[in-house]
Amino acid sequence: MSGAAQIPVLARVGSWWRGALRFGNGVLGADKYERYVQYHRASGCGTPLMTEREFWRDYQDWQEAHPEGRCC
Amino acid sequence: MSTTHQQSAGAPRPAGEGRTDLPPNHVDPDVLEHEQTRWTPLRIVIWVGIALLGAVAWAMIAFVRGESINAIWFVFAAVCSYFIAYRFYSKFIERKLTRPDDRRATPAEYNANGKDFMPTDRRVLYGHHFAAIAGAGPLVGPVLAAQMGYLPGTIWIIVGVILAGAVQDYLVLFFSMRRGGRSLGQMAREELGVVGGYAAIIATLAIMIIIVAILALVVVNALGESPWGVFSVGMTIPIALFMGVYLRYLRPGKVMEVSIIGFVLLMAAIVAGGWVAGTDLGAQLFTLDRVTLAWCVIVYGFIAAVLPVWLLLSPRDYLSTFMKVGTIVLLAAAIVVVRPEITVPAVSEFAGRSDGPVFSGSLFPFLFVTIACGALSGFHALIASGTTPKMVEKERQTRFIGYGGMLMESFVAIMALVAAVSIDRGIYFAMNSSPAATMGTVEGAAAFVNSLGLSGVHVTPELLQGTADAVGEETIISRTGGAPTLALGLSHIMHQWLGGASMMSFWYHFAIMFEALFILTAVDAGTRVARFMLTDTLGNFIPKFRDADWRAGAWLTTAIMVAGWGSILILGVTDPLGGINTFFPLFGIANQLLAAIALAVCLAIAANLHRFKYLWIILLPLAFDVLVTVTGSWQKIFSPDPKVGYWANHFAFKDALAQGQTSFGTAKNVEAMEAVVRNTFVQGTLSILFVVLTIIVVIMAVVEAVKALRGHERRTHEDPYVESRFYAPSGLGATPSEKALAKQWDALPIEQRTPTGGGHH
Repeated sequence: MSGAAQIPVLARVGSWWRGALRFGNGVLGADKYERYVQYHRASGCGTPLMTEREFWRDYQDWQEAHPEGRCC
Repeated sequence: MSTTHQQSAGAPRPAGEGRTDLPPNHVDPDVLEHEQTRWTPLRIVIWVGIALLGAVAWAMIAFVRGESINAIWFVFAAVCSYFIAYRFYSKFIERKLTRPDDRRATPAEYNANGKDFMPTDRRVLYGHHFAAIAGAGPLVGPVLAAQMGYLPGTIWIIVGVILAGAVQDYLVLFFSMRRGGRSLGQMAREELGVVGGYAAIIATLAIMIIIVAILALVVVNALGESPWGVFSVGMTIPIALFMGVYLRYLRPGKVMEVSIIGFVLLMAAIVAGGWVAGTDLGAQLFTLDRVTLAWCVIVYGFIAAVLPVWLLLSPRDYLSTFMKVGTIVLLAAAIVVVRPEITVPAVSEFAGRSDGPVFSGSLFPFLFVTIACGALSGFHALIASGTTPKMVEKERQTRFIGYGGMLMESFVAIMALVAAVSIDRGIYFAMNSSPAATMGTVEGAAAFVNSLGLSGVHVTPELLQGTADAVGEETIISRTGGAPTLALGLSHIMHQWLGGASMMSFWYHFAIMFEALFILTAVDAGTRVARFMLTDTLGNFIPKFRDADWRAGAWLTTAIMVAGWGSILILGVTDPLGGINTFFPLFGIANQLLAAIALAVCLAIAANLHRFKYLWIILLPLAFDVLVTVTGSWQKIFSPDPKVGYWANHFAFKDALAQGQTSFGTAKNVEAMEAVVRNTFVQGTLSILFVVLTIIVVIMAVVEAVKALRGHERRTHEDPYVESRFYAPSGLGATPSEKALAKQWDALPIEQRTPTGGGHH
């Protein structure tokens, strides 16, 4: 196989893998901080941006009062 | 921002006030309709192919009576039916009943807060919603229903989801989304008035308690007398605690990383469980009887509900989600690769009787309550209102997420059914008959199963013991509850693909582990959700309960909830009649009654939208569900047959006690007889409570619908219209014009898009 043909294949596998990872992170809720940063920017940065550590602590404390159901 | 101007349908126009630089916020509905439903030659070929394959598969399952049938036909029948239902029926519901409008902003957009209100990519949300609705329920019900053969269960799972379960999930999701993501209870209060609203809330609370109790009973039955299972499932607690500390202090936010670490530790715990159970000390330490285990689960449930969420509940939830998606993909792949042959009859001897050893009662209505999750599950209405609607980006996506998500759960139920019917029928009955019938010994079980007179069934004590040895258990006799049967079926399928016979015991405990994980997650979360519902309701009378920082209040309400399900769990494990056999119908009836409440609320909403011509879409599942659950409850309350009726049994045992008898039926002493009297009283009382509350709610909904039909005008409880400043495609894939428009929006800087910039990839 020529080198030129390999790169697109690798690139495609790479982008497929990144897509799968993004999906997995999304379903798990691992991308919450990333999305908070987006939200912060898009909503006009009215409050100071929290660091990742601050955000997760704030989110976990908020979760305390907002339980999410899990079904059978 | 204006919230009132509402434009007539027509050509797309730029979104936002005076912001002509923004692209349109929707694709012209006519263009979209044309792209999605136009018949091209290729599409005709594909849909004819799907229809033909589905028809052949159904014919193989329903009519062809050979020695055996290949499991792959179940997969084809289910998947082809789902595709057709999704493409045609859910599209019909969208066009006629829900009529989504993509120009309208969703709560995720206009209420965005970076926490629960967050526009989420539709495919991610599909996975998220599925992980929230699916758990052990669709894995357990079909296993028990296999007593009647595979055909009745298969038909109900597939037809039921298409006409009932997926419709309920879709409509609740849609209507809740239009109402700012309000919960089912809040919607009931708004739509049905005070009486209907309170009835719905009390019913929901009571039903949640019974559902959590029966799920816990399934875990206890799966782990009783199983040191391997107790060790490996017990290890999930330190693993979750470790993950919690890791996420809180060591590396906050690295959720995927810690989930993978947790998963590896979990696998290690399963393997280590085998070694530990092999040692004398380990076997001694972790062989727990069911009553002790039940107390462990109760104490655990209380502690988990009062500990900080980050320490136990949320890491456990990550682990559970991680396992859920993984194992379901694994199971589907295994069934396709292994394609097990199934020798169980399509319709078994018990389909026409009401004295089956696994669950009692006739096919109608009890098959339809035994399989709740997977066909129609009221519990989903609690997720489809409240959680998911706050994350939907665009109104049109609700069909894919709500209807499509439930189709996936139905597929899980089909796979569970396949796993259950792929094992030997004799072993199936030996595992699922009550200890009172099998005496808990291999000899007793073999004698009992052979005495059932089932065609082609002959088990020997050696076969039963050999099966137990193969999966690394002391015994498989009377392991009721469905989970061990599913685990055996799964190990039977998986070892043919990966690992060979030596891996059977690993796969068995792997399955027990994930079922226990799903259930314990549901127990934790259910206790917390129920506790908050209780404080909310109590807060109406004693405002102090509204104070989230009041620890004593939190502890008290948690204790009430745990005492509620815990007491039923204890009744279940000590039940001389076998526990699951008598309690499981109550679980199914409760779940289906919750579905009736959810559908009734949808009926009132749709009637007030004046969609009278299409109310049958809701009336059809509602009427069937009410018929099933009311008949089921009626028989449980009034049947003179003590095998079916709780009260008949109650009075039979009471009379026997009054006459001074010291043993009666399967109860061997006075204490056991008193237990039966007590349990049947609780079961009978709960049956009456559930059915009365549900009938109140349904009547209130019908009254509302009739009022609307008579032209009684009422204000809508929908949130005001807000023009969307965002666009995202609707289905799994995107049509050319959807793609083109999404591209235009992607090109904009994030500040100009919706308040969140979208969770859009």
